[in-house]
Amino acid sequence: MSRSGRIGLGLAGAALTAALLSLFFPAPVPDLLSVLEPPSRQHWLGTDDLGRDLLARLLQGARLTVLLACLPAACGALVGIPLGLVSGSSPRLDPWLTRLCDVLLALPALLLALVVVGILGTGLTQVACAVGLVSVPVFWRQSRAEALRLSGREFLLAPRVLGVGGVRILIRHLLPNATPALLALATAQMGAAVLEVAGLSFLGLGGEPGVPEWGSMLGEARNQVYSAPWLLFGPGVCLALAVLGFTLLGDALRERLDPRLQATR
Amino acid sequence: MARFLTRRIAALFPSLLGVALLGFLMVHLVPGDPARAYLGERATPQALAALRARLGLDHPLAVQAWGYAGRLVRGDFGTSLRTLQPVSEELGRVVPATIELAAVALLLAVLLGIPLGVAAALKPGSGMDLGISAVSVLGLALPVFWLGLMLTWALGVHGPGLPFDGRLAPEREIPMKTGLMLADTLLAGDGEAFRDALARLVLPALTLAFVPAAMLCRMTRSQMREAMAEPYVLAARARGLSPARVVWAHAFPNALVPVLTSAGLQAGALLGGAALTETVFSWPGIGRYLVEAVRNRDFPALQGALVAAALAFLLVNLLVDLAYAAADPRIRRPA
Repeated sequence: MSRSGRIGLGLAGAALTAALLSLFFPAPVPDLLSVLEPPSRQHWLGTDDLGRDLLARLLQGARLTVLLACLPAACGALVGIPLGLVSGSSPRLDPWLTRLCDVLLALPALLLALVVVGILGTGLTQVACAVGLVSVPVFWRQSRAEALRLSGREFLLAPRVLGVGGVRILIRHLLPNATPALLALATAQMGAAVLEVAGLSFLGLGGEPGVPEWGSMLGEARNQVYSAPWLLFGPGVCLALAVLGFTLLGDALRERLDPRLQATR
Repeated sequence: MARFLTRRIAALFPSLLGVALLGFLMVHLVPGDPARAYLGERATPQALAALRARLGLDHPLAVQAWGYAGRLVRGDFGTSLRTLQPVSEELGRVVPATIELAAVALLLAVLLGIPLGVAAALKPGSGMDLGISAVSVLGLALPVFWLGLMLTWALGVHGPGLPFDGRLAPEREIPMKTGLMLADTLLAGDGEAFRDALARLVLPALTLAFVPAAMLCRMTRSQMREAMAEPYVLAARARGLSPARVVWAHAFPNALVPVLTSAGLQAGALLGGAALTETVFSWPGIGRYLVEAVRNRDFPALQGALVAAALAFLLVNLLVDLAYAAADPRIRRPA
C-alpha cells in the first residue's frame, strides 16, 4: 500500500478506535465552576460554555461521526448499486434510468441535502437520510460503469447460455466482480458523508443543541471566537483528519482494487 | 454550432422538469401536515386551516399543480411565510450578493490555483511540489466552514483585523442599483464605503475560493506534467526557445482547456460552499436565505430558493459546455 494509503488507514483506524473507546468513558457533565477555561493540565483542550471538558466531548463525537459516516454511505450503496447494476446491464431500461440519475445530479450535493432536510425537518436522523440520498447517484453511476465494463465477459455469458435468470446473474456473477471498485467508492463516500453531515449540523440543522457532533460543536463555538478560540481547534482538526483518512484510504483501495487503474500502472 | 446549442438546451429539460417537480412535491412530501410543521404542535385548528389555505393545500392536487406551473412560468413563488414579503423580491436582493461573492471567489481560485499548479508541475518531486500537492489534497478534506472560522480567528480577531460580518458596515447607507456592493459604492462615489465593502469581501471570498483553488491546482499540475512530456515541447526546446517561452507559449495553452472547463464546473462546489460560507460570515446571499428557509420550514421561500439556485447552476453548466465547444470543435460533433 502506498504511503498516503497507510496514512489514510491509520487515520480511519484512529477514528474507529476513538468511537469504540467512547463507549467506556462517561459523557462529560456540565460543571458551572469551570466555564470556558483555556487548555490546562486538568482539561487538555479546555472547557466549553457549560464547563464540559472538550476532549471528552470530542471523544463522544467520534462515535456519532463514525456512525453518521457509515449510515449514509450504506443507504446510498443499498439503493444506488442495484439501480446502477440494472441500468448498466439492461440496454432497454438504461436510457430512462440514466435520465433519472442525471436529474438527481442536476443539483449540487449540499443543495439537494438542504432541500431534503427542509422537507423532512431538522434532526440528525433526517440529516443522515439527506446525505444518504445525495450519495445514491454517486453509487448509481459507478456501479453502472462497472456493469458496462464487465458486460459481454465470458463469466456473464456462460450462465446466460445455461439459462440462469437475470437477477441471479446480477447478484451471483456481476456483483462479486464489481465489489472491489464499489468498496473503494464506499470508503471514499464515507469521507464525503462526514463532511456533509458536519456541514449540515454546523448550519444548525442537526436537531437539538448540545449533541456532541463535531459540526454542531463548531457551530456553537462560532459565537465564542473572541472569548474561547480553543473551542474551534479540536473539532475542526478531528473533522479534517477523519475526512482525510477515509478519502486517502478510499483512493488507496481504488488504486489497489480497481483493475482499470492496475492496467495503466 | 446551432445544432449543438439546441441539443444541449433540449438536454436541460429533464433536469428542469425534475427540479420543478421537486419544488411542487416538496410541501406534499413533508411527513404529516406541512401547516403543523411550520406552526408547531400547539397551533389552533383555525390557524392551521388558514395556513393550509395560504399554501393552497385546500384545493385538489390537479388544481394546485396547474396553479404552481402557471406561477413558476411568471417567476412568482408566492410570499414568504415568515417575512410576508414576495419571495421573488427577496431573491432579487440575495442573488446579487451571492453572484458578487462567487465571482470574486472563482477569480481568486483561478489566480491562485493555476499558477501554483504550474509551479508544482515544473519541478516534480521538489519540496515545493510536495508542499503544494499536500495543501491541495488537504483542501479536499478541509471543512469549508471550519476554514472560515479559522480565517476569522487568524485574520479577523487577530492579525490585520479584517471585518467578518456582512457586506457593509450597518451605519453606511448606499443606494442599491445593481445589487453588487462593489459597483454600487463606486456608483455612489463613496470611496470609503468601497474600501469597506472590499475589506468585507476578503475573508468570505478566500474561504469560498479554497476548495476550487485546490481542485484547479491538482488539475493544472497533472495537465501541465502531461503537456511537458509531449513531443512538441521537446521540439520547441530543440529549436532553442527559452524555457519560459516553451512553458507559457507551447505547453500552457494546451494544458489550459480542460482546466478551464473544470473551473466552470466548480460552480456546484461554489453554490454548496456558499451556503456554509455565507452563514459563517453573515453574508446575505442565497445560500444563507436557503438555510434560513430550511430552518424555519418556510416552504414558499424554500421553493423559490431551490428553483433559483438550480436554474443558476444549470445555466452556468450550459455556458461552460458552450465555451468548451467553441474552443474545441471535436465536442460539437454528435457522438
